[in-house]
Amino acid sequence: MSEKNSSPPRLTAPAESGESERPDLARPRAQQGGRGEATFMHNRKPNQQQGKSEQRLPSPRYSVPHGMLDRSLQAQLGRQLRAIYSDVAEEPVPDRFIRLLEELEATEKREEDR
Amino acid sequence: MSSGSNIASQPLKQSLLGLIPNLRAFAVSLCGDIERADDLVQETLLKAWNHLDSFQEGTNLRAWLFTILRNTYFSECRRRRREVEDHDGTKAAELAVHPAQQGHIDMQDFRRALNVLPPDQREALVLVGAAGFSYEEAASISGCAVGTIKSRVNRARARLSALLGVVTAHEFGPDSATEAIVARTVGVRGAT
Repeated sequence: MSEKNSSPPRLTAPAESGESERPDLARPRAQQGGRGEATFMHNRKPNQQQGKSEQRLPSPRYSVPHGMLDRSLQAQLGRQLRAIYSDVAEEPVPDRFIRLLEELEATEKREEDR
Repeated sequence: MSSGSNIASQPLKQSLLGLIPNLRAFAVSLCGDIERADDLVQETLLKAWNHLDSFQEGTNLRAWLFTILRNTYFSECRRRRREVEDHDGTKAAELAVHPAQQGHIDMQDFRRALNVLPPDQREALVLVGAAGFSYEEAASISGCAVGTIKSRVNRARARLSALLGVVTAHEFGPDSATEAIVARTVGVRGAT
């Protein structure tokens, strides 16, 4: 069956590096397609794709901006943002809102009483 | 204040009253104008009161009110988009006229810079950086993904730094020049 013709052509993948050093390990995997040796080989298999994918990474220069931000500047911006916010948040509630809520409440009460 | 106490709505009224300072602070940071902010707060309170049935008891009342307020603000922005853009342009121009001193950011400059940010970035920055919401809460208030909030906050911070022009040349080398140019360009574009 496939045992006869499979072995030589099937070995193309490991051929570029490990084959000549470990022919005994490379061969059984191609022929048997399973079992313990095959999984062992799978783990040991040199990662061929790594080199290619590394070349495709975008240039690191693209991600400059926020790495460049000065930490103390950021702290200062944060303090100012909170100061602007709390300036208003600490003011007493203006009368117009107290009146508004009282009116809403009164209207609701009148409607309920009917 | 002497008010007839309605037992049913008293706790809600109290909760609303207690949250008004926060709502005003959020509104001011969004629109940069206290009078407009108070109008937003008023509209928010009215909407909240009239749609109380859509509020789920036990959930975060503050987040719910913030959501109403920001939705009101953004739909208003869409209505008066032209006016708002003009407004921002003027502010950007002023900013270019008064560059910040090195190492110190004047509060007025900071306010102007904040108002030059795109509204969605300003909102994200204020929710997370001042109002104390988590990224998740901010995302649900703004109706967007958590990642979107994070990137808005990052862009807002980067933009503020660039606008305020306080990046020090000796620390950052040629890139500080780039950021200064960005800040200038924004000003110039706004002025034309």
